Amino acid sequence: MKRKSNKQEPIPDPEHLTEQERVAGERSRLLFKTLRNETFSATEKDALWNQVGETISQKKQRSFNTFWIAAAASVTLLLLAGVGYLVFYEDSARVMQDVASKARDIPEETRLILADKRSINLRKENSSVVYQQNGALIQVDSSSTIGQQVAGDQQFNTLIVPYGKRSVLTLSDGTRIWLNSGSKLVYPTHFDKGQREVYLEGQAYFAVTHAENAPFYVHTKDMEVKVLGTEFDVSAYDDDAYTATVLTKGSVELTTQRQTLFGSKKTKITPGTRAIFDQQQAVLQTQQVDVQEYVSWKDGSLVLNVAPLGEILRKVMRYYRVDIELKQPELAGVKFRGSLILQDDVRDVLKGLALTTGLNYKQQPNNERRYVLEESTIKQ
Amino acid sequence: MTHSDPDHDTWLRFISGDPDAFSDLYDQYADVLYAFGMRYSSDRDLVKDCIHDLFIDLHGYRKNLARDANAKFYLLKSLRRKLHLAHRKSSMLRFDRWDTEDSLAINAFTFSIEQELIMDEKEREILQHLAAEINLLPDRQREILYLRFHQDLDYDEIAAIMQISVPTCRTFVYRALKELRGKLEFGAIFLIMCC
Repeated sequence: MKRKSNKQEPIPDPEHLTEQERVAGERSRLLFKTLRNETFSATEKDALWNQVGETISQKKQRSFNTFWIAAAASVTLLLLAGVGYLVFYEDSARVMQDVASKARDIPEETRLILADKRSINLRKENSSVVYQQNGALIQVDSSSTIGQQVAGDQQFNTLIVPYGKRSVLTLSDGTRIWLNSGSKLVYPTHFDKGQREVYLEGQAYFAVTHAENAPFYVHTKDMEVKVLGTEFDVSAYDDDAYTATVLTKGSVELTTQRQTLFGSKKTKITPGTRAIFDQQQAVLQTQQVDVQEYVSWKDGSLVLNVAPLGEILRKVMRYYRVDIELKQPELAGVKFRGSLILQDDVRDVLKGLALTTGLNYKQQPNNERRYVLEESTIKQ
Repeated sequence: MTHSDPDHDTWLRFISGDPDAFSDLYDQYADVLYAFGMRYSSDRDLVKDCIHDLFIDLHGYRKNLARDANAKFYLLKSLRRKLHLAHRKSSMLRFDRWDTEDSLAINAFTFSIEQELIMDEKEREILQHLAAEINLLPDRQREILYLRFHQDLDYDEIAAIMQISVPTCRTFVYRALKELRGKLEFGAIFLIMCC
């Protein structure tokens, strides 16, 4: 209501005031000079001043303290973070490597070793292990279920696959891992936020579920593979002089020689690329390859359409991770047609091959993974 | 503007970081601020607390203060804001008073019309009459008269302190004077007749 009348009224200037109004103004001015003010005593004034001074010095003290405490805290934190990074980061891979080295002897059957030292033997040639409920439940070969404690510190499980067997592992984050024969994988019972790391000895094919904020690391003795979500094969057999990665899709980042703190190198590879790290020369080389050649082992069969013996042997070698020496190299060009069903034992496959080709095969002494294929010495 | 040079000097010295200027500023304005604060409140401790906080702020924001500001105006404005905040805080807890506008009311004025100051008895009577009328004016109008005639602030400064526009401020003064003139008509005539 005041607002409305305001608008209607003209803005009064001193010259617009009537004589009476001006007089009223002068009188008011005079009157206000006589206004009785509340006063406070000199003592009160001094007391208030002292209070002001006290508050200011307290504030200074506080901000001084806060500054130094904050500064000291940040320095300490940075130091701790740095040390923690070196110690802990190294650890995650190292601890897993230690766990892997503890399970030294290769068992007859595929074996799952839990954090609480329980070990479960998987009888099937091609077994499956599925982690459910964030790692608390493990389903083995879709027949039995095992429970385990997953609370507290990060604990590791180990899956060991002997020669001639394979295993498919599904981790708590949905990532599927095909473990080839003669391989060992160490992995946490469950993944903490933002961290997914496993340690591999041998060969495995990874189908990693995508998680933007949680990169997946595959540690091997010489190479670390970092991915967000993709499919790739890692081959890191102890008795091979190299570690290799073949990428099916997506992109991965490889770090080699992480142990040498300053010599580590990072390399990104694209699909269809095979990256090989040579331990002797300590160099990483990449080449374009037919990915299927390197990863088809996980599917358990090879279809051959008029393939030379050399190529067939290469695929068998790759699948079973064995070395087959052809005594007569000129035979490598002889072509064969057919379907090669990859049986559980490479010897069965070699038996079949020997029968088809009329060659003999024999196993090298003291090495399960070295074979020789040669022309029969017994002439017919 | 009512910049008096020594006062403004203190202000400038204070902003420039002169360590003595802060206590000079306090010495110069503490009494004025106290009297001013007690216009709006009857709580002596509250007023003191607000002055305390005001000087803490001044000390903390020294570097950000405007050099050309009128020190007195700035201090009065800041103190009134602090009192207003305190008032609002306390009235939020009190439900017996219905402050629809929750504005800061100015206390009734007590004038001391001394005989030595105003010799004329009739004039004194008129002023006494005026004093009574002023206390009957609405809060806002009384506050403006106080800031204008007692604190010698100009319209811009009054408007800033009361958080109203300058035209509104002028209107309030005009309306107050019109009101007072009407009441004083009788006294004025009486005065003229006497002269």
